[in-house]
Amino acid sequence: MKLGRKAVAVGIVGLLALTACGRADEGSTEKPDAGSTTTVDDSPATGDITVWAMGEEGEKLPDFVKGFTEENPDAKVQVTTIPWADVMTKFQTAVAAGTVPDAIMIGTSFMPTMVSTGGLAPVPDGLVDTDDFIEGAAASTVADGVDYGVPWYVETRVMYYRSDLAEAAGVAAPTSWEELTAFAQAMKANGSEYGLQLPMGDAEDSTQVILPFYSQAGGSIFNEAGDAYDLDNQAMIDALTYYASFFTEGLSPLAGYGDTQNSAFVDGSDPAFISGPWMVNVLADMQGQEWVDQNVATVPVPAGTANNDSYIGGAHLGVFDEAKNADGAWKLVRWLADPETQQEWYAATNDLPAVTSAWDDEALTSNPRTQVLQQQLENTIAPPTVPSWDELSATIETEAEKVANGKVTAEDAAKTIQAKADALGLGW
Amino acid sequence: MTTTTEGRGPPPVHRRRQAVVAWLFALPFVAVFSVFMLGPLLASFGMSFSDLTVRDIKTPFAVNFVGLDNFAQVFQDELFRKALVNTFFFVVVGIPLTMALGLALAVALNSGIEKFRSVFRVGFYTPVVTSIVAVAVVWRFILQDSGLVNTVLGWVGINGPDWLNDSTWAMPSIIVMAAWRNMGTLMIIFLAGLQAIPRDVYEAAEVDGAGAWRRFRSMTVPLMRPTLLLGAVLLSVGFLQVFEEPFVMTKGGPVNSTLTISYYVYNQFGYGNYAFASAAAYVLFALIAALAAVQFRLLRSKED
Repeated sequence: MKLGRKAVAVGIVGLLALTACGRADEGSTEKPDAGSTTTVDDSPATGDITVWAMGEEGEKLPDFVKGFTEENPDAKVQVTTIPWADVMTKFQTAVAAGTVPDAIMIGTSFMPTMVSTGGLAPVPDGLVDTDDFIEGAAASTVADGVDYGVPWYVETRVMYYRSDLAEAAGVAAPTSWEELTAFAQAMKANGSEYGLQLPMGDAEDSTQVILPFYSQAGGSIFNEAGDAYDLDNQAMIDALTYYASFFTEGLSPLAGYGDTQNSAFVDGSDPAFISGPWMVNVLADMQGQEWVDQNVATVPVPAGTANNDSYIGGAHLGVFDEAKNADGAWKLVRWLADPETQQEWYAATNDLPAVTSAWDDEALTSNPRTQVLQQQLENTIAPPTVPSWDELSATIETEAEKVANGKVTAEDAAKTIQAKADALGLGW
Repeated sequence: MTTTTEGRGPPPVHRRRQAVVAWLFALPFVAVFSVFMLGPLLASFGMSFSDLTVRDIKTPFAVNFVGLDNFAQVFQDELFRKALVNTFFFVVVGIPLTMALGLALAVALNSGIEKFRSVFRVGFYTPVVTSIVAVAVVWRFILQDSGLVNTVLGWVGINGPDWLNDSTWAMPSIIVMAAWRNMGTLMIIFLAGLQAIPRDVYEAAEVDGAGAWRRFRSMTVPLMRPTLLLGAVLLSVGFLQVFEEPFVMTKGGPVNSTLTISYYVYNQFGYGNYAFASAAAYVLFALIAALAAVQFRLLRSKED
């Protein structure tokens, strides 16, 4: 008796009206199916286009879009900068209240939750060509079988280590799991307190390292049909065992990065880590560019038995289902995903292009560190775009923490993870 | 209302006008309370019997009534039970510790160091009004592996643990920090209670040969009982909802050893499980209400 229960629910949840006011159209809230999306033509954009963007991108974008308004003189772009921590709250409030802007920057990990609210519109047919984008980035715009975003910029994780200390220890850049362990052991034997920095627990999002380990060991997140998690397998056991081995052998501090991640790298007490492109600037701010050039090596992450996949993140651009100027917003998104615009955006922000052809840029090809990133971008694993991943990853992180502390075996942890995954489902 | 006080208060017309004026004065509070407290309270109560999640925010009325399913699930969740145990540990150890510290400070300020009383009173109250974020930075440094605490312990030959990253020691560390943060409030309350006890009672006891400890046990504590219980009620309501300390210090880790009920509710809201999170929040509410009821009963029976 679903209808009867609904009637009761309306009575009880009617109390919600006190907080969720301002919603006008109760009937027209069904998701539009992808086929019905209007195509976006090539005429210039017009009218006001409002955009939400986060962090540094949000600060740089207002100036940057002048290029767009020059080409589209009848359009006016208004960017609102939002702190990263407030994005989901503001998004949910706007969707519930119907006070949405036109376009929004979407951190890749927010994608599934944002889609699940029904607040985002599918990408119009033919707006962009999916094949133009870096594979991992394009894949992470698809949620529940529909494309909801256009990749804007990407980041991936590579291995950083102290080249001076590695030379003293007599080791070269590791390319396999065994070599990475041997590398960390050699660094420790050379006088460093630890050999490799690894994140610990939910607080440090350790799945950003564990998920790649899992992929490197040949694991895939879903079953073949793609309708359920498939995580209790040998690859998960291998990944957890490998991750934990660094802690149990004393090669990584059980505290994780803690408050001393950068200083431990600089003073040599923990001389290697796996992190994103921004770390070059962080280290240069601490020690100067010259020190970084001389002492910091950047290499692709070592490979497991299957590949050397690394975590891919970054941001997409999406348009709201109830956007007032959807046409103008999609034209702005298309402009931002143009290869030339992407190169200019890299020059303005150092954000790596999501469009493959934009990597021809001299500024990118002449920089050995971005070349390493480009190489790594060919082998990436994106977090799955299903709403329950956020909650499931917390379980993976806690279980991995238990294995690292010797509290449970990797086999039992894999079983616990799968049980949680089964209980959660995909979350749609 | 009009019969019992006839002839004493102002005439009925005046009184009605007074009532209108009173309500007008109360209106800003009532409005703010209704919109920001009562409304959300009732809404989340309703939500806790539904299956509302982040997926339903565009159509919050098209959800199903699921009865007590959410509450059953809350109690079946191993993580919630862990949070429950952690919270009880925090409360059971934290409240006596904070009470003892607050009382010791109040007694010391009341009897011993009268000269600099206001200086010490401000000093011990400072942690209460200091921003938790700033406090956390300092405490994290103090409790680090090579921090102040372990350095001092090293002088006496003790090899201290990495307090906040050790699943055995993280919660005790947080309890100590919470006690330090809250003892100032209790000290102020207890000091007021102590100052209300007449001096001559103590002088009489002293003449009768009662020592300091005897006076404390047989006079101060019994005379202070209502004040002590008030402190206990206030403290336990706050401690059962503990969130800030684990949030800024440990993020609930390591291995969920500092995950409290409030933190659990916060996480569940973050995952978009609104109905489930509301149910968990109401379990916490029921716990607080029950504990407060017991404490008020104790308070009343002692006064009778």
